Amino acid sequence: MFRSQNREPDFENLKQVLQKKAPPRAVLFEFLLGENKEKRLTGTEFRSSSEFDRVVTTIKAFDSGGYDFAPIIVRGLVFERKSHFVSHALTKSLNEGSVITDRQSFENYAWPEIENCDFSIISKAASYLHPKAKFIPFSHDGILENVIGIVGYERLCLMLYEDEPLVSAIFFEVGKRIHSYFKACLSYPEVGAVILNDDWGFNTHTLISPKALRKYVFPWYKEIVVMTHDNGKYAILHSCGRYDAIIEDIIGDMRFDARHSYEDGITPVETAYEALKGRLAVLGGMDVGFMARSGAEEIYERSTRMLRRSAGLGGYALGSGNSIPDYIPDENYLAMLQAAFDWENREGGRDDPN
Amino acid sequence: MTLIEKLKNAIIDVQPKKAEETTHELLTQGVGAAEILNQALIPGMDEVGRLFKEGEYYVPEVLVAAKAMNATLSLIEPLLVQGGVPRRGKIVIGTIEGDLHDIGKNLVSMMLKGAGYAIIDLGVDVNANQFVEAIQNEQPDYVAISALLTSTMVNIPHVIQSIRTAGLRNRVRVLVGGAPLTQAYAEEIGADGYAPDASEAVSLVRQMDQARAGT
Repeated sequence: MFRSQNREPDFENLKQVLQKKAPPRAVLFEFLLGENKEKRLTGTEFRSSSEFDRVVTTIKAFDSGGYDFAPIIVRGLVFERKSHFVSHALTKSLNEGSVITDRQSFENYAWPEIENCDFSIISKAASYLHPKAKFIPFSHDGILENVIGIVGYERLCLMLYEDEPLVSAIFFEVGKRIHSYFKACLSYPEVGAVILNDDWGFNTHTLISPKALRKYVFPWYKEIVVMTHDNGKYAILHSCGRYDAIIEDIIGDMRFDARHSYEDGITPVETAYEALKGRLAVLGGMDVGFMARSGAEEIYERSTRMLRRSAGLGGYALGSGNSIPDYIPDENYLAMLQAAFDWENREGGRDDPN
Repeated sequence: MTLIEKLKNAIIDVQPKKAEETTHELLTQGVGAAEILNQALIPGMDEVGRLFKEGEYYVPEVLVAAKAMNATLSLIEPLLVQGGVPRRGKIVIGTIEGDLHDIGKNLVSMMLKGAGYAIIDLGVDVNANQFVEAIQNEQPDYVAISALLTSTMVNIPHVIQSIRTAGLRNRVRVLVGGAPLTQAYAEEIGADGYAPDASEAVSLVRQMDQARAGT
């Protein structure tokens, strides 16, 4: 157990952050941890031989790391696409998919059915969850990501101009399935929030225009967020890339509670927090490249500065800008966690530690 | 509006079919390929680049504009070759070894092609030997290398070293770009230039051309 026994998981802490309030102690947020990081956090309890084992390992890793929740994915809703496997490659192309190229391939496409998902894994795994912790489900990619996955990015860009009815039909088929997925997740009392994970941009622009996003993508998320709030739960957006052209859609129209994914090359989390505080909770933000390349001390200091910056108004949880891949050195990741643990030991976490 | 303006606007307004039809009209009227290239195609793509840089256009608009550009280019290219009209320069481009990311690289290729350069696209996952071989065979003015991740960008210095080892470093300028790269990193690894996006890549190459012409 990496956290101290005194730091018990309690979703109420994260809930305070999602309500844009100051939590009683430093709150941690992470979307995904690399397998080796989960091994480091769980030690001898690490298991990965079945899907259920992997879910339990994630629960234990997040508990050990001092988080108030565990992310969970219910397998089964996978939009099949072509994959060009290259053994030594570290990335993939957004042009890879391309199984739907025209109306005929759309009609012939084998759409995944929500019935393939066994949502009971949420209640079954809940017995491993700390009694005060909650699950935060996410999906196998979001609406835009899945459409890009099955159409291919450049083909989608051209299709937006050349076959708008087909584009609408594809987004509808993907959107209604993602909506059903989260509807099912939200029915479980062990779920406290949802992560709607869909990368909408890259470093200088959104992937498609804000106008196109408003037409094909955002209406679905607006409905999912309403459904989430109607269930008394919280909606977290995980979306990479530049977001300034759509931030008012995220806050005012779709009414997300929090946003996750920040990069120093786009908007450093410190700048994002100053711009968004009080309107949208800011989660994570320690840039992944910064965490990979800097020393542990530097990461500890920046984490502490961020906790200090947000201490008064709240609405912030400490974490990485995206996820903790295994190429981030263990000591760097642990330095960030330590900054949160040390912060709460300093007079309620409100005073300047220096 | 002249036909040249009509063609330029067809590119800016992302209308490939109209661009193709207008190019046919221009050629029927005896307008030269060089004039079409210099008066319609290059200024049209420059405007598309400007709109992209200013956030009015997004990748779909650039891709469809590039399709309009290609519709024109495919008709005038044989005439340019036949007439001995020189291209502005030759650029070998590729995504670094270990990286299959191609969208940024494709955008840069299209914008440079639209600016009048000949492009030799080596594709993705290109290793140092392939870059060196392409330089030997194609004798380009520039080599442009793209990377998406910090874990793949570390292969770029190996390419620069291989170009140096092959004795080709003084014959070609190395440009780098991609999400994790910065001007500081480009300088650190000994690249000649860095551009944060496709329209900046065009500006960079033009500036370097001017500097070279001035020396």
